[in-house]
Amino acid sequence: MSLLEYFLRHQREIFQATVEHVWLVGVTMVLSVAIGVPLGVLVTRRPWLSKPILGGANIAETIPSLALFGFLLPVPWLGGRADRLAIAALTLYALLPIIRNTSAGIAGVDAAVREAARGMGMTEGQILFQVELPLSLSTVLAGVRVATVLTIGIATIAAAVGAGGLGEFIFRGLAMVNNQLILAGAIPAALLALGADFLLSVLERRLRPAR
Amino acid sequence: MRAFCVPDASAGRGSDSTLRRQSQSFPKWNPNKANDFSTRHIPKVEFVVRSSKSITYQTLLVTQWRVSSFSDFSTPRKRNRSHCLPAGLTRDSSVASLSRTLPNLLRQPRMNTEANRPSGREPVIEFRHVSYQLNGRQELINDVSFAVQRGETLVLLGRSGAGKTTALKLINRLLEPTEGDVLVEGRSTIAWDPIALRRHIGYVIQEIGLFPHFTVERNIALVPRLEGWAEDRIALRVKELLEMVGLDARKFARRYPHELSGGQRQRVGVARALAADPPILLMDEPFGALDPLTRGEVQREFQALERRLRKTVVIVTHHVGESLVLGTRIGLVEAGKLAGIYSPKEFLESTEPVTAAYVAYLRMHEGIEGDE
Repeated sequence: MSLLEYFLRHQREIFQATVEHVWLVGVTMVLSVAIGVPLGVLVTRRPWLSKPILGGANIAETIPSLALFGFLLPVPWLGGRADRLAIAALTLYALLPIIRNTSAGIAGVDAAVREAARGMGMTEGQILFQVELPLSLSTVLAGVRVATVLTIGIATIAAAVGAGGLGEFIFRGLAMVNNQLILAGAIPAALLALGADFLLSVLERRLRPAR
Repeated sequence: MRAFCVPDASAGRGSDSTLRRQSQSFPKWNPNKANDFSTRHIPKVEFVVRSSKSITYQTLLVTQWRVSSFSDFSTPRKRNRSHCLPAGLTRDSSVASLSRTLPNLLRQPRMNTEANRPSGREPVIEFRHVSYQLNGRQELINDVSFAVQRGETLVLLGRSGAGKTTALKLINRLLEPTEGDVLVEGRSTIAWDPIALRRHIGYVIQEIGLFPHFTVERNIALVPRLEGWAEDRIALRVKELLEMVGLDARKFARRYPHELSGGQRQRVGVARALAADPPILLMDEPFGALDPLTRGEVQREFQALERRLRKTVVIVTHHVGESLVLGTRIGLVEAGKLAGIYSPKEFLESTEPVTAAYVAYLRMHEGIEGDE
């Protein structure tokens, strides 16, 4: 049985797993952007917080993903449901690139532009929302892109705690020493990652401020 | 050309080495007397009466335009400027032409005799013994006092790092004085709401700082929008301002800053600063990034504009020629202190070593290239 035949025969399961996977990644990205961007802004506003925040995100990044899922298991609310647990762990992973790129993007805004904005009497909020964030949007988006690709990969491991997704095939295939099964999880995951990377890079280029 | 404009005024000033020796012996402010108000060193501040000032101002322009007519420079100046403007001179760098006519300028009869008479009006900007220290240690501004009257253009001239820009930022409270008071319209900047203060003051910086993600229209409309003007009023104002700075509104309003030349950007920067019609304008090396020819043009246009709008302007520059062309008074900043305030004519005539050094420099360099 060729790989293609195998894919066609199991297309419904594969599709369903892909949807689950996209859902996991999607929720994770929404959460990590909602948390990461404000933290990135905070880092530029309170430099003394940059060490603890970036340091914390860095440490989360270094924990092996399988271990992180295990660590979170005893946490009361999170351990109750596998997808909650997976999303929490994935969010921790996705935070670092987003925080770092947000703060780098804002720090990279031309000092003259910021001074002009201040000198013309814009408030801090106006400077942030009308000047700094729009100008650093492409950098922030680059961080989101990296985080998305990363999350799509790591989300396959979420199957280990029963969160579903394309990882199911991979784990089952590993257990059964069935390469086709492994590929049924790995190939859609890789395509997802490539597709997300492509789409976000197009968006990123579109949003890059002209110089 | 340069050869015969140099000698008669610089005669007796001596070579470079004498200049250096003289500036070393220049009397310094005595810190021991800092708290003694009766003898406290207050840099010379003269109050220029508007009318007499504008005469000298005009004189400066007239002589400047009369570049090649050396044959008649001893005849009384003509009132009608259009006579004096030789054809084809419009693109000449004002700095270059100015330095060529320096001797001419020095021959002008004294017009400014009232210059030192104090006027009763309240100054628009006033520095009262202002010091500013960076991180509480490094002294960037040291006990500076001066006043700027309504409608004046004060140029702060000095070397890089002398504290000119710091002084400027103290006015719109981008920085706050460590000691002393900066008063804007009689009120200390600390007492002002910083946002209200800054919207009251136009601000042009060297790098212009146009928002790259805004069109020219949105850049200019920035402060009016923040102030909540009605959209149709904003549209009118933008059009008016673009025309005021010599740009075709239909052509430029929709462009982005990166689609403009340096000179055009500079004009947009000035237009943006003027948008909400602030009575005060601060400019930090406004024409610094321009080539000498464009710089001359923009300077001349700005000068005309300024005479029409009668704003109170403070300009920071390290460019001697520019300060003579644009300033009604020139404040010389040296190492965080105000070495003196002069009218352009006094500046040129002054025999103080520091000013003399600047004038000598102007004759030597800016006369040739029109720029450093």
